[in-house]
Amino acid sequence: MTQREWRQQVLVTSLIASALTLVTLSALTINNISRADPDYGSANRLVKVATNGQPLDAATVAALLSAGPAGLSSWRLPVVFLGQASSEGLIEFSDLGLSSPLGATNLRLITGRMPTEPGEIALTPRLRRTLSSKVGSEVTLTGEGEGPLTVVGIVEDPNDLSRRLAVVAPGQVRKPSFVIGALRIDDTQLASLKTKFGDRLLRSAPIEPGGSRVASYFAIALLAGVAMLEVGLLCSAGFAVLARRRLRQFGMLSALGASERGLRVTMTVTGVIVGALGATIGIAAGFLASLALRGRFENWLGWRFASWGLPLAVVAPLLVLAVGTSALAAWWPARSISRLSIVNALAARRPVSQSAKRSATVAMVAAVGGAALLNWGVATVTVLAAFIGLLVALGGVLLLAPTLIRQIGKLSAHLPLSARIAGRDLARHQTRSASALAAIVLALGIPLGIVLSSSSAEAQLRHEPPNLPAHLALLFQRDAGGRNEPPPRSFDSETETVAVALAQMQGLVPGSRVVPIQMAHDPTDAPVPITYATGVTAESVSVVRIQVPMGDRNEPTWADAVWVATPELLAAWKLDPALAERDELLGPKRADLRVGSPNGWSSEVTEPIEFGLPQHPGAAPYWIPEGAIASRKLATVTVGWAIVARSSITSSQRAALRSANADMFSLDLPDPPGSEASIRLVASLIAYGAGLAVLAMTVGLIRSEAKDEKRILAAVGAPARTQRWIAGATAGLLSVAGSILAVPIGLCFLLAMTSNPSGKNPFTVPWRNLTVIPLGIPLIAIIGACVLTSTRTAYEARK
Amino acid sequence: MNALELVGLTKVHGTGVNTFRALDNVSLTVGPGELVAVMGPSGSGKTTLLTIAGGLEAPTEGQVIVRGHDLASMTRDQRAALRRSSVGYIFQEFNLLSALTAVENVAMPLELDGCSSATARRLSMESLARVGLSDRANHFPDDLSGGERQRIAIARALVSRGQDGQHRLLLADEPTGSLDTVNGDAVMEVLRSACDEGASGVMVTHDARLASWSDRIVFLRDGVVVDEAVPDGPESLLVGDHQ
Repeated sequence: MTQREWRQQVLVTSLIASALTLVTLSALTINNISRADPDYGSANRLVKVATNGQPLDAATVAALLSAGPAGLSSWRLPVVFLGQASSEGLIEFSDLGLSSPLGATNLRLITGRMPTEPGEIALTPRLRRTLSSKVGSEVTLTGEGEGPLTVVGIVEDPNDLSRRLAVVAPGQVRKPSFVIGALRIDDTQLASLKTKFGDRLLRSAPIEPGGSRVASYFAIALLAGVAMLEVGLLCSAGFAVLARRRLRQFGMLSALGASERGLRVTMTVTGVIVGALGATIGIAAGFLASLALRGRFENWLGWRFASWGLPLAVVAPLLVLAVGTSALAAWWPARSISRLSIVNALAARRPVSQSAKRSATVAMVAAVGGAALLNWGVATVTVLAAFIGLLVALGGVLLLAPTLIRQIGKLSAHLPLSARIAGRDLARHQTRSASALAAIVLALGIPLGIVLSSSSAEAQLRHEPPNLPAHLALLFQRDAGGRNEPPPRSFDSETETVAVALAQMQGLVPGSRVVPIQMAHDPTDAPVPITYATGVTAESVSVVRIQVPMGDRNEPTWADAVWVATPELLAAWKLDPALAERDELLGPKRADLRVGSPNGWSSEVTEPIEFGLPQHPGAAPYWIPEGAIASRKLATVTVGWAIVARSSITSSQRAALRSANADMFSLDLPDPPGSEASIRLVASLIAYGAGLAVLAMTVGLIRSEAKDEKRILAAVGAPARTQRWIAGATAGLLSVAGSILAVPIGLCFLLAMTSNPSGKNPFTVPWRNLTVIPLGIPLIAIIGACVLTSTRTAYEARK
Repeated sequence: MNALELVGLTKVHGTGVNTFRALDNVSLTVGPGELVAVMGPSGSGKTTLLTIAGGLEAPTEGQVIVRGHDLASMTRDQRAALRRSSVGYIFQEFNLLSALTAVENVAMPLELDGCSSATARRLSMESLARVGLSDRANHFPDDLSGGERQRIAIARALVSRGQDGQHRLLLADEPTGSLDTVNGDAVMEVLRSACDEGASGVMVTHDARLASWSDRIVFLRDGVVVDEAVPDGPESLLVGDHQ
């Protein structure tokens, strides 16, 4: 029998193959997405030591080498190069060789060779593009080397494809800013290093082994499970059609003495063959697709995958799952057909559908109970309970499909002829229709859940503090403890390194300008000496702060520091520069305030000028104009800088600023535009795409059975459009019913998102999103079905 | 006016070496109230003759005139409208839409013609009463016997009269082919009775005994009309060359 009904079986095979292609591609990506664990040999700790901008001295090297066997590995130095692409800013220089402990896994030669002589250099592809250079060409860089350097090779860091790395010959980095050592040291040796280097020891991180793969396998299992559930439901509808077409054959076999089990086996074998064929094709296609797309995935993510293969641990479960799903999908309709009486089977009478009352009750209990368990699991952070709750709720909603199909049948009695035919046809073939409806519900429900969840998250974001203006980046000096304050008394005492780094940061945002951020202080205060992370010493002062009445007893509290409102800073925030001339404090509200320093100086400010100060938490809420500084005989001190771009800072500029900053400044960047909108857009598109694709398949499947119906309609004189209306009504009824059941699934996702114990996300129902999909899908489905349905009758198709 | 005129009908299926002439220059006229039986072996072109007569497919050559309307000059929708108003089809099996009840099946052409539900139901019940199935009106086809299904199909074929008040043309393709003798006779009685009341009919059958219910018998072989006969009554054709 497997040889018969080949069109139907090709359809089911294609469906399984398509699903397995996507699942295999996704599974291999998830399985291999991790970066290669760098090989640090026997080292157990990475140590980073600042060189204070001085050439690497022999004492430092000796001290590090004496600390452990793995020894010195790489240097990093921020420099600016001249010429071609000054906006590129910082470049990492390293003399990391392929044979060094770090270089073996952190560096890969793409073309050419590694530098071996002074004056030679190898570039990463990104840097090569920036410099418009190639192997054999010469480049001139500032800060490293006196003359032009010859490019002898192209290298990449497999773990970070975006690095702007220039590799020079061993020992040729002349001005390292810090040195990184991969060392095997115990706590005593580490303490010794801390004593020896003091504040110059910037970091001593233990080397962690590679992460667990449990999360990856869980993600693959979830993905494959959902995909196979969807495929199973669709296949079930397909096999139900197949079983109906074979009804008389089954009757004949029964009449000849075939047992019920024999009949079920006949169909199940078909399912196994179709499933195995589809799975094999799908896995092979998925693997080939993964090979073809691997490079693209790696470039998107920014690192090379650790490995790429077809692991049995991934493939075997997928194969078993696909074959099992297909076999089950075939067995289920075979079960009901095999129980039909021989006479009814020979007469091709359909099996009588069982009452849906009990299944509806079970479904309702499962849906409500699952949602409650989900809510409880999320609220108590019991992951297993939440997961089981979600599955039970999902299953409960899907089990409501037969009940809804029956209701459609009843409702159809009151509809026009075409819709009545469509609705009754759905209700009469309950197994097929319910499977199709469940597949539609699943295809719509999950994306709808993502849409609702992202909408809720976005609504929450609106309640959070305002973002920094998109054209601003703030940089603050840091002290040795990593805090932003106290500020230095005099910036002029800073080293050239800070000034150069600031200029480099500005260079990363073409066309930008740097505006100092200043605070006020009493010049009579005694300065306090401090040491920066870069090893530079300076002096700090007690800056002027705002004294705000707080609490029930209005006890004054020293609150935030006050920024000096210079015309440049006001302009940077797009405020009126003329405010800098005022003598009053600028603040968000009028109140009895005082400005002063904890050391004792203070001044009454009873009427601050209200103006639109930035609400960003990184910015001071009160500003003191330059005019007020002069009248109060205060002095100013630079505490940071604002890089003011001409337009919004791009994501690549943000990444470059972060990368270039290292530990130099405390960097405050505008948050990127909310990703929720794009997530919602993608999820909506998936909902539309998946929902309409499943609808097209199911409606096509259902209408493929309508050959006799078309013949009869033609004979009784039905106009050609009647067939279109019936197809449209079928699509419309299924999509409306699918949308009705998809909404509770979406709400389950929303519930899971909003039941978290922190209570961050309020249960905000985004009505607009909730209506766009349930209304849009049926509308498109009806129009699509009407337009795409052929009106040719069997007579006209005959040649 | 004749109910049906077929003039020089030729129907060729396939192309090239696979060409097959299903009908070859067939002409046939069916007058008002006349029931014509078409007999012939399998593949002789009987069913093709009916589908062309009802405008379900077009002839390769020749002319089809139903109630004075030349089908070649009509659009697809006009032909469909003519079928709704003037033609009733009865197939050997799969006559009814299983999604509709008996009365809804009968009412289908009326509803398609824009008739109100109430009127369509009333006329359909009258038609069902005529074939003796009023009590099965709300049953689905799966719940009915083969004979009942065929009688409902006849009820549907008879349900509406032409807009000009003319009787319908009934085209029946082996209407009793899947029925036993008793049910077959019952169906033939209904058909004969309808023609006696003014309807016209063309009935394709293999059964000479049933053909004897007709006014005239046309014999087809390999797409060609080879003979015509007037039956003397039931059983008259059980012997002879054409059995």
